Amino acid sequence: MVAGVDEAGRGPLAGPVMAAAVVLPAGFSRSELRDSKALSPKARERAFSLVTLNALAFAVGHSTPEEIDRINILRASLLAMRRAVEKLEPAPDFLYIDGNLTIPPPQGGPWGSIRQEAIISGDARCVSVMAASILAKVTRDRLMLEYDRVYPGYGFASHKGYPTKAHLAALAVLGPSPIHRKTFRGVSPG
Amino acid sequence: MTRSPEERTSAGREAEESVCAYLGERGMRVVERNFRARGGEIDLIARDGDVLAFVEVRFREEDGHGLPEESVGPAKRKRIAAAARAYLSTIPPDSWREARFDVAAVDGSGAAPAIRYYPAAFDAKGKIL
Repeated sequence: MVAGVDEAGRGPLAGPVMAAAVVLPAGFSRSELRDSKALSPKARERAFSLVTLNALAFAVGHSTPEEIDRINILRASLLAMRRAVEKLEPAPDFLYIDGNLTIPPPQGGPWGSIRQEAIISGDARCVSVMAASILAKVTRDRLMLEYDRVYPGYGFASHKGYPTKAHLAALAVLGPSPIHRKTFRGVSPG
Repeated sequence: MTRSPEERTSAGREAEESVCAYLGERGMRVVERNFRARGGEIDLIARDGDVLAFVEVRFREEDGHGLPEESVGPAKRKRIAAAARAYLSTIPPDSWREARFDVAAVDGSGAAPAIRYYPAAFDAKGKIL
């Protein structure tokens, strides 16, 4: 079983970093996911259903803002990916990982037998990585919609935590919320 | 292979059965089967929270006439859409936020038929998306 793995939300000032792992059936073609990178949220929702309804297996995992502050965003996104992969049922034996890094395998467990390959711009080149990218992004966006209700005033529903002008202005007035990444430039005053 | 009409119906029912199980595994709840209205029939109506899916199940064995999912013609799509509008008028308007037309293609029979699932395959005007 070959899984594609990708992450979403490395850049935002707030919220978790989300990762997804997807195993697609043989013959699932790239053309079915075409336009998924297009910004239309509707097209993305459709691609999300296309993946979840056809995937042989899929899972998501995340790292919290606290973890991001503690171990840095890069390691936190690898941790999120590891959590996604560990939730895959059945366990995969090969991973395509978007980017230039592979997941540091934890001691013990089934990781010894999982082979990994990092592929740069994998979200455009490999259909299962593309699928993972969609799952991670849509799941994270949905979560940020929920957070918008819990921590209103920052505009999480529209910018999803990314550093837009409106977001920075809200931060200047309200200060950071509990889901802000305190180590990110622009979050804490000064 | 040629089948008698009775055999065709039972194969179709079996295909619907496997799509029901498939949707259930993926967190969707089937709320209606073989809903008929206004000259159209909807094989399955499923719900994923406030999203409603009208599902056309296509089943065909290898017969050299192309893929089962390619066999949902324009007239059929319009009949499904008409029946869907009738269905929507029977449920509380605030019980759904989004509706879409899906096609599920079932390939082969037996214990583990292959299912290819196309969410939002066409729109309410019958236009292929």
